[in-house]
Formats: sequence, structure tokens, C-alpha cells
Amino acid sequence: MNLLVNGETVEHSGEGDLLSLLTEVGANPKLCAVMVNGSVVPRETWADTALSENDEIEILVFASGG
Amino acid sequence: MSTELRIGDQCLPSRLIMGTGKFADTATMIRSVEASGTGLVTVALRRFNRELVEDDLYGPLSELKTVQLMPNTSGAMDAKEAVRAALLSREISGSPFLKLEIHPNPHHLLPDPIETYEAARILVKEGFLVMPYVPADPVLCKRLEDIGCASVMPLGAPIGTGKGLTTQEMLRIIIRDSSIPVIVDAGLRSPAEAAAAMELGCDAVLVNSAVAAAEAPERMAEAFAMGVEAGRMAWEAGLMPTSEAAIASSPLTSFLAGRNE
Amino acid sequence: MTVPQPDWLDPTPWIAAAQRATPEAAAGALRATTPAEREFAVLISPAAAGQLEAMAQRAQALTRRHFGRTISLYTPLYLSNYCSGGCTYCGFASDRKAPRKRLSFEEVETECRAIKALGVDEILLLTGERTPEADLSYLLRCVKIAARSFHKVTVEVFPMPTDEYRALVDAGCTGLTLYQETYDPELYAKLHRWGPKQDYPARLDAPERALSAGFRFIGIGALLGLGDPLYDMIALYQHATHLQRRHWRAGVSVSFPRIQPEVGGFKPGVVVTDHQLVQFILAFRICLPTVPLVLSTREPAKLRDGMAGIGVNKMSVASKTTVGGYSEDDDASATEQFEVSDTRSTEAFCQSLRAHGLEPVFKNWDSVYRAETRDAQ
Repeated sequence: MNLLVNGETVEHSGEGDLLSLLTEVGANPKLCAVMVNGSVVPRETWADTALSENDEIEILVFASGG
Repeated sequence: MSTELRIGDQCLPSRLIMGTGKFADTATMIRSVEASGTGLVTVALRRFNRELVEDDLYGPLSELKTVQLMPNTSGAMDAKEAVRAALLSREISGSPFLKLEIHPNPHHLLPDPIETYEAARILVKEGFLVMPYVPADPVLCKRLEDIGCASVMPLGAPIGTGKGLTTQEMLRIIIRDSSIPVIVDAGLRSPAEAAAAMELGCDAVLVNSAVAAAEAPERMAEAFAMGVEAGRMAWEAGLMPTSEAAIASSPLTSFLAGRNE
Repeated sequence: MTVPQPDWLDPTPWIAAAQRATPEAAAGALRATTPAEREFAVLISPAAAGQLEAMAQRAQALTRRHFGRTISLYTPLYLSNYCSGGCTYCGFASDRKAPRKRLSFEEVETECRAIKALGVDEILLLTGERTPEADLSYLLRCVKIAARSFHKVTVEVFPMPTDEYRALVDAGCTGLTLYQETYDPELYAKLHRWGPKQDYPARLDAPERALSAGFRFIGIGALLGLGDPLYDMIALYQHATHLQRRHWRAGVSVSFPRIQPEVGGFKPGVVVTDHQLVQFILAFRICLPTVPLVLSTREPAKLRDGMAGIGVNKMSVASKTTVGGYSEDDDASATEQFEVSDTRSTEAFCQSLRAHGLEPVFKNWDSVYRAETRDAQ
């Protein structure tokens, strides 16, 4: 399915859940936080969160800042 | 040694808080954080980018066992975005600390007091130790204290300007009237300024640009640690009064003459 | 039986500091940029007694900085001298023979008109301890009458629960004056022989109840002459700073009532001299520069004139301490609570203030923003 991940269109060919998507894009689950369609999704539910066509996903990590 | 810093139910080993931004590279930042002896550093959020994986700093930071993370909401333009940033950050690190920073203007980066107050109200209820970055406004600081913030972080001068304690008189009032820790944030350029802030009576300082932009950031971090410690010890020891000379004029108490002693 | 003291009230360590103080320490305290409790203790101590002139210079500079050259004026109106209390130092205690009087509502209106005609815009309404003659409903009606004519209505009345204070606020009250008399709980117990006033903690907490209920201004004080003045002045300082910190929207003022021998023959336990009174006022001004300091007509003209502008910035004017007394010509002195020392008329007093380079201010607060009073008008 087609998904918008961090502002870019991505074709996801995995299981259709959030955890698989993270693995596919190379994100380390221990280091990131995720929003789907504007809502924060708790880490423990990632494997069970099914994605739908055109979902907007934001994957965020810590960066340097003051 | 000076007394320990308590924020909410947390104890911190140092009254110097470090920002992690603007360093040349992650390795320099990590060494500077270690040299500072700090127990709390700020981090921001950015979009994951697989090309930038070598910039991972959560990994090395979490290896510093004595350092806790304080995510900041920098980049948020309003309360809603700040709340989202806070919740996302807690997903990653689980830290209760939250530096609430909402600065809509990218030139002066001054904090928006209204959005900050709105976000603080929500985030206190969410259980965060909310540490709002604010203008040095005594009334705003009391209102944030009233709604349950764990501390207030009034600025000394706009971020990155290094102009020192331009808000000194306001800071005096804030410190005098506050029942929660007052942490001067932004604008400090030198360890002497950090010491001066501590000598005013504030509970901690946050320093970022002054260390990151120094010629030798690690040494500067160590110098700041000493400055903060010296300033705090001086305040606890009780500074000698400065001179407030009265202007001599005609005697004011002559009306007492002749009245029964 | 010990009365538990709140955390913020602990004069004892500072009394020790005051007793240890030296004149050099006093001079140092006078130079401090941000004087606090330590400096206050030193400045009220005997060690500072020889530095009154220097203290006055500093106090004058601070008074001018924060209050300009203005003196706020107000006038007291005793509504009733019925009292159920047993204060040993007051001629109106319930076992004393003073003639009792209570103003009728018509009389309250007449008195208010007479006071208003003097130019005054802030009125202080007084009663004794709660009695059936002067209870809350009587007080509420009097406040409503006063609020029609005066922009600032302060009450100096029996302590009450928060919901009753709220009723007073709704009726138009802006300020509460309440003196702890003495902060020493053992002495307090001896001085208050019966009645609700025996409840020391209830009286101590009353200003905070009033502030939670919406009062904007609180006036506190200790009756000088009852007990150790160092103890009471330090406790008063602690009370003022506590109220300012806890209720940061409120205006806190400090008064300096000094006991006069009462008609029933009460002798002050301690003599507080003019020098000491002046020293205490100056110390408060130096250490709490933004807190209005109040001196009433209990004190003689020379002292009031001397202190105006060098520490004191709020004073009563043309006072009568009889019940009513502003509109009648007949001699109502039988009902005087204390003898008024400064008997000058409003004009004479204002003239004197102006001669000293001070400006009398009758009004600096407008109640027009309060919807209730606007509707009442």
C-alpha cells in the first residue's frame, strides 16, 4: 500500500502493521516515536496497529537541541 | 559542595543543565556533557532520516548513566504542537522532564507566553515535570507555578545572543516570589554570568550556545560547572552587602527630639 | 497547651539574631541591596537605635521611589461598639461599662454622606466581636450602603469563615484589616479572656480566608505595647511576606497601632517609645519597600507629620472613634474606643502634608469595573 512517511510517499510491501513499516524504513524501534494521522501511537501497540492506504506517518527521533 | 537541586520529586547532582544543540559533532557534545558534570540535558525531536543515522545521539547519551534527558518542544509553533511533541518524546525516553519551548518567531526565538501557558496546563495534567521556557515576567511565572509547573525557566537574554543577564531586575523579583525552582535559561555567555545568576539566588542555569560555540567546548563546559558551583556556594554563604549610599539632606528625625524616650 | 504555629511563623531564631546584633551589623543591614529577614531583625534591634537618621534617609528614598510623594487617606467609621469579647486591653469588652451604641441604617447613610463631604474616598468600617446587634447581615447591609459612596470599602471586624468573607466581597468590600494583636500565643491566651477571639489560629488564618474569598487588600498589624515588640515585629514581618508569597495578586499593608491606656485602666505590658515606633516603621519600609505602611490618628500630629513620606504613606484623617460621630454635633465621646490624638480636620491635615512636600491622595482605585457596584448605582 502507499503511505506518506515523514512527508514522502512510500510503498509498503510488508505485513501492513506499524512495526513492520519501521523495520522496512530502517528505523530502530528503541530510538523513535511514531504518529499516525496526527495521533501519537504508543510503542507497545505498534505490532498491532494496522495501516491503511494513504495513512500519514511521522517517525521521530531525538536530535540535538537546547 | 552546595546543596542538591530538587525538581519535583527528582534530585539532580548539578545545578548546571546543558543543551545539546549547535555542537560541531555528537562526539564533542558528549564529551562536553560529561565534562560539565550535569545531570540533565535537553534534546529535541526531528524526523527520522535513515541517511543521518550516524547523528544518533540518544544511544550515546543514554550510556551516560548519571545524565537524564529533558526533551524540549522546540519547533512547536503552538500549544497543540508542543503537547504532541511532549507525548512523542515521552514515548522514546520515558523521562518525566519536559522543557516546554514554544517560539514562533525564528529570528529572535522569544517564547510565546500564551501558547506556553495553555500547553503547560495540559502537560501538567499529563504528569510531566513541566519546565516552561518563558520571558522573565514575574506574573507569568506565578501563574505557571499556580497551575503546577515543576519550575520556571525565565530567559536571561534571547537565545544565542550571549548578552547575559539583561533581565536581572525581573529575575530578582521572580526569584524572591517563587516557591518552585527558578532556572535561568538562554543568553548566558560566560561562567561569570552563570555565577552571577546563581548569586542572585536562582536554582540552576541552562547553558548551550556558550559551550557549543566556544573554541574548546569541553573545557568551557568544565568552566561553567565551576562557575555555577561558585555562584551557588557564594549565595549560600551569604554575600556581603553592596553599598546603598543614602543621599544626605536635612535631618529627618528631628521631630523626635523632646519627645519622651 | 501549646498552639501549633504554621511553618512560616517562627520569630525565635530572629530574636536571637536581633539580640546579638551590633551597630556595625546595623550599618551593614542598612546598606544591603535586597534586605531580608536577617536585615530586618538587625534593624529593629537596640543595636540600630542610634542610626535612626540614616534609616530615615534610606526609608525616605524608598518611599519616594515606590509611592512618590503621595499619602493615601482614609476615614474610619465605627458602626457598633457592641462586643461579646473579653480583651483585657479594650474598653468595649463585654464586661466593661461603656455605653453601647449601634448605628441604624439611616445613620450609616448619614455618616457616609458626612464623611464623603470631607473628600474621603476610602472608608474603614469597624465593629467589635460578633454580636446579635452587629452580626454578618447587619454588616453586609452597611457595606452595601458604603459601597455606593466609596470606591474602597475596608472592614475591620470579627474573623469569619470563607463563605461569609465571600458575601462581603459580593456586597462591595475591597479590603480587610485584621490585627493579630500579639503573635505570642501564650500572651494571646492571657489577653483574650473569652469568646471566639480566643481562637488564635482562626484569627491568624483569617486574612488568607478573606483573600481566597476575593478580598483585594489586606491590612495586618500587631498592637504595640502588649508583648515583646521584637517578637511581634518579626512575626508581623513574617506574616506580611507569607501573605505576599502565597497570595501574589493581593495588596498587603502593615499598620502600627500602639496601645493607649484604656478607660478601664489597662496598663500596657511593655512601653514602646516613640523612638522604637519610628525605628520599627523605618525597618519595615527598608525591608519591605513596596508594602504600604499605615499610621492612624491614635498618634499625635507631630509624629504623624514626621513619619509621613519617610516610611508612612497611608493615614487616617479627621477620625472619630466614637460610634458614628461625623454628622452629629453632640458630644458622643462616651463611646470612644481610644482617644484620637491627631484631631486635625481634613483641610488642616492636608495643608500640613502639602507644607511638607507631600500630596494627599483620596482616591487611587475605581470600583467602576466591578459589575455589582455599577448595577447598584
